[in-house]
Amino acid sequence: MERLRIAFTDEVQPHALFALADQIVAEGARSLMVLAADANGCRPEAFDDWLRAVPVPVFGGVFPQLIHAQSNHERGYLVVGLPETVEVFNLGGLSDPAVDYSRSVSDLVGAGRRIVSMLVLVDGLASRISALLDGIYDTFGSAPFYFGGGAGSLSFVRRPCLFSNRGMLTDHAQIVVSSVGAALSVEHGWEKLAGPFVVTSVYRNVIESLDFQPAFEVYREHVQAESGCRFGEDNFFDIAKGFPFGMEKPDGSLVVRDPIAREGNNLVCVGEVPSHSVVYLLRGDKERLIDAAARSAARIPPGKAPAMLIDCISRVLFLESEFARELEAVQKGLGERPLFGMLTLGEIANGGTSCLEFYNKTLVLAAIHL
Amino acid sequence: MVPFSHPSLALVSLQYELALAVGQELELSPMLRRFFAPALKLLGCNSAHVWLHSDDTFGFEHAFAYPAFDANTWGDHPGFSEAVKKWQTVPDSGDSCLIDASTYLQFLSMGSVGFCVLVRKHEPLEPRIVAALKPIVERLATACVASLEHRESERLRAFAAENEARLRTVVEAVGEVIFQTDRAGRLIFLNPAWTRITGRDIQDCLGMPLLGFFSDEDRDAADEVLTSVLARWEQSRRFEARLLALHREKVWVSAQIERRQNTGSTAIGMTGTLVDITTQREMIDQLIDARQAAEQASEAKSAFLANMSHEIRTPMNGVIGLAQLALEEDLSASARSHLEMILGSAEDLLVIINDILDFSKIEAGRLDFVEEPFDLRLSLDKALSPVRLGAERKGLDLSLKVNESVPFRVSGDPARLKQVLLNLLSNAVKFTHEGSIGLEVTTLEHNADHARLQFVVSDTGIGIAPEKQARIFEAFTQADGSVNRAYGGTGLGLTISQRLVDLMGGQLRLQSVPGKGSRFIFDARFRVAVAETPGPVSATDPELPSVALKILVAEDNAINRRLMAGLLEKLGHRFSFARDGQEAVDAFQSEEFDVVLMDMQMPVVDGLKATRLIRALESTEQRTPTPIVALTANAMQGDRERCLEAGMNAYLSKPVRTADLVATLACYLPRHPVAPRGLNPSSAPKP
Repeated sequence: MERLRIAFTDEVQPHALFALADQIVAEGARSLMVLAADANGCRPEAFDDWLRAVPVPVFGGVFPQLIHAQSNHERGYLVVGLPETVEVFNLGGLSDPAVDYSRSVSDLVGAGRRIVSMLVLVDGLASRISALLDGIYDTFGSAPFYFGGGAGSLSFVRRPCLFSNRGMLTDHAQIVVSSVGAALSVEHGWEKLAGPFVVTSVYRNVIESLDFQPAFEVYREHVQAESGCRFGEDNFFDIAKGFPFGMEKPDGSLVVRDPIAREGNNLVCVGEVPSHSVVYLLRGDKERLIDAAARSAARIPPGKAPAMLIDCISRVLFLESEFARELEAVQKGLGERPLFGMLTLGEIANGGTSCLEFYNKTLVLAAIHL
Repeated sequence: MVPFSHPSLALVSLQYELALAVGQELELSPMLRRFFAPALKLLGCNSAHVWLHSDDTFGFEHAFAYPAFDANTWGDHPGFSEAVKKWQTVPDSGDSCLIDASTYLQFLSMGSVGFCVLVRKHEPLEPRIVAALKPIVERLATACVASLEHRESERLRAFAAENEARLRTVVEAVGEVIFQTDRAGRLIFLNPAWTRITGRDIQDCLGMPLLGFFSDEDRDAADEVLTSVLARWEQSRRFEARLLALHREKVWVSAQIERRQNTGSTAIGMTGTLVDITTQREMIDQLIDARQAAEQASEAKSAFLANMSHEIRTPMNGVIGLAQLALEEDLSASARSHLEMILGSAEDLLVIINDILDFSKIEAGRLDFVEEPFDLRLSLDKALSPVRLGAERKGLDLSLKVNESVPFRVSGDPARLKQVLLNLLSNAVKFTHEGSIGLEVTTLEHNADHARLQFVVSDTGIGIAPEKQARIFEAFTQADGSVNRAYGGTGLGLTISQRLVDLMGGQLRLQSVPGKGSRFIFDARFRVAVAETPGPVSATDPELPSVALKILVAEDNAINRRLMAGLLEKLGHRFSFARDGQEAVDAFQSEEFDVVLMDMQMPVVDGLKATRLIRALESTEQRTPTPIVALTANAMQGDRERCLEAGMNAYLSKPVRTADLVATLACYLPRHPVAPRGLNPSSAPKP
């Protein structure tokens, strides 16, 4: 096997995955990436024995949806066979406030290594993802190509969501070290609606107050006025999916934080929000989002090697039927490159030129040099 | 990209966020990491580097990088390192430069503290952002200084903690008690040795007065010391005392106490150590006991020797004296020969007894050695006298040669000098069958104070084999066993002589050729007598006045009374006897005597006590003191002193030689006043 071998099945039964993966291993794959749709209902007891028996390094996870053949899939398995033996490191304690990730990553992976590219998959509902990414960046520097995303269920119920040779894992990060380079592109297309607001009280990924007022009250005031909808007992995310926060940089770019749940007057985001940071309330415009996706694809150099799309599930929820157009725009920009990927709970990249970030509602495109 | 929608607000927001990120940690690297991790994201930069001023190199040293992985990239990248060097030469906080196709460096000065460099891709930071960063970087510089000071204080703290831990280990491990008290002398610190030594729990003792732990016997003395130190009379004191211990009897400690004082020299308490010396004290006690036991044993030995001396000399006195008396009578040739043999044998036996006693004294370190002025040539004559007859009988030529430079009068012990010379001369006569024996005296050194003289006793006798010469001075050793059988003797003579010569500051050595003869050479140091004084009355003074004295002889031994009767009768004196001290006192009380000859060891009342009683009687009755001469077989060290102390005037040891008795009595003939005390023990008293 000289190139990536990508196979998809829309069956949800584990044996469908096992058959597909075994076949790809038989074809000579030296590593396996296994992506499963959340709706498959994957449970460790059904997968652990098989995972421990896989003869090659295995990594991947359960994501809200999968992307294959220019379509997003709510069910099925996507198996990618790699022609190289990648190194897979599983790091636990992703919500542990006591962990110094610079040290634990150094201990696990080895400090001072010159890494070409690194896929980072995380339990998307863990609370210290940004700290982990700072530790990874501190350890391996600015040179590698970093990309990845958050696994988990859109139900926001935490379950084992990462596949490894040890079985399915929860509250873990998976660091996959590859010797193959990649081209990266990051876009989102969200625009400012209100702000700026100072995050005056936050605990990791839970915003408690904005401008010294209860966070939800500030958020509700602006979102209800803009959307015309009213927050009830169980419709928070239905409304919030179109109104994320954005942390602005001096160059005008925005790092998006997605509020996915409400706890009283607190807002629970996917990914940490720095204390005292300045945020804006964003709103989405479908055309702008699709344009952003097209811009992202256009920055990927031409080629035939597959491109991996790590796209936020909230874009699917927001674009709804128009999401097909986003995929179409991406594929159009990629030309002959086959497109595959997953819809995630948070996206990871170093933007190609800047620091390693944990994004929300963003599209990360990685064209692997194979 | 969408530019800042509210530029001024965005800059303030940037400053706000970054300012709050400064100084969130005390340690330098974590502090900088917590600042630069969000800062790089906000500023769209890839990495940050910090150089800080070094007091060691007086330059800037790379101190931090975020990401840490990039710490060496600036050195690896030629453009980067060159730009850094250039900027250090001409620092300008606003500078930025392009080091390769797409990488910009942004230099931000932190004043004298250092500078930082931000690495950014594609385009440099906008000038207004750089300007907005300036106050932030100044705060960062302050935070760096604080972190460095914290690092130094932590280093010092760690150093102090390490020292404290080391000190604590030592304090806890040492065998000595280390303590501190407050100003009132109450214990405020004790190390574990306290428990080991006293059996007391430290916590139970803290707050208690140190003084209370000393035993009753030593408390007053300890109180004096503690008070002295606390009151600043003394800075420190050392003393030994007993502590009250729970688990054993009192513990002896050696205490060293120093005053603790504050910077104003006010005493704030005491610091000290207590060393358990119980074992040493017990050893010392044992040594004292052992010494006392040894001294008692030595006393017992001395008493035994004294007793033996007395017991032997008493009959010897009778044998020699009576033999001498008998020889004065008309006797057949055979009887005279026999009596002369008895007398000779008795005198030989006396020499042996004297040698053994002298050797015992030497071994006990009690050899009697006096210093007095004497006529050297007269002493030499006296030394030759006893051997002259023997030499003549063997047909040996006996000569004395005294160099003219030899002083006439010197100060030393004439008796001991005579003893050495007599021993050497006697040996010479004994071991020489033909030829000559000579005594030659020369001066080795002579100055106003001292003279070192050399004495050579030479003979033409049998000589001593070289291999035996080395052992000849050892006790109980003669040239070989056959010598003892052939010539007799104890083998102590040379040993005694050598020790006596040592005491005279000289050395005795031997030159000998078997079959040709021997030379015994010794030197001795004498003080030169300052003035010529009349010499002692010679026992052989031919011009003794023949005046009869009335003499009381206190003597318990019947034979000796018979002897004294013979001698005094022959000398023409009148006499009466007392058989013990009490009889002597009674006799003295009832009539007057010119002289009393007093035996020391007698029943009822001994000679010493009788003398004291007589002196007391004289004092009471205001009588002129009567000369009392000790006449005793007690010839041990101290006997003479005891006699004089009791009030006697002179001392004659048994066996009494007629000449000595004559010389002593001559002192008390009418032309001589009675000397009070302090007389020569073995010869006539001085005027």
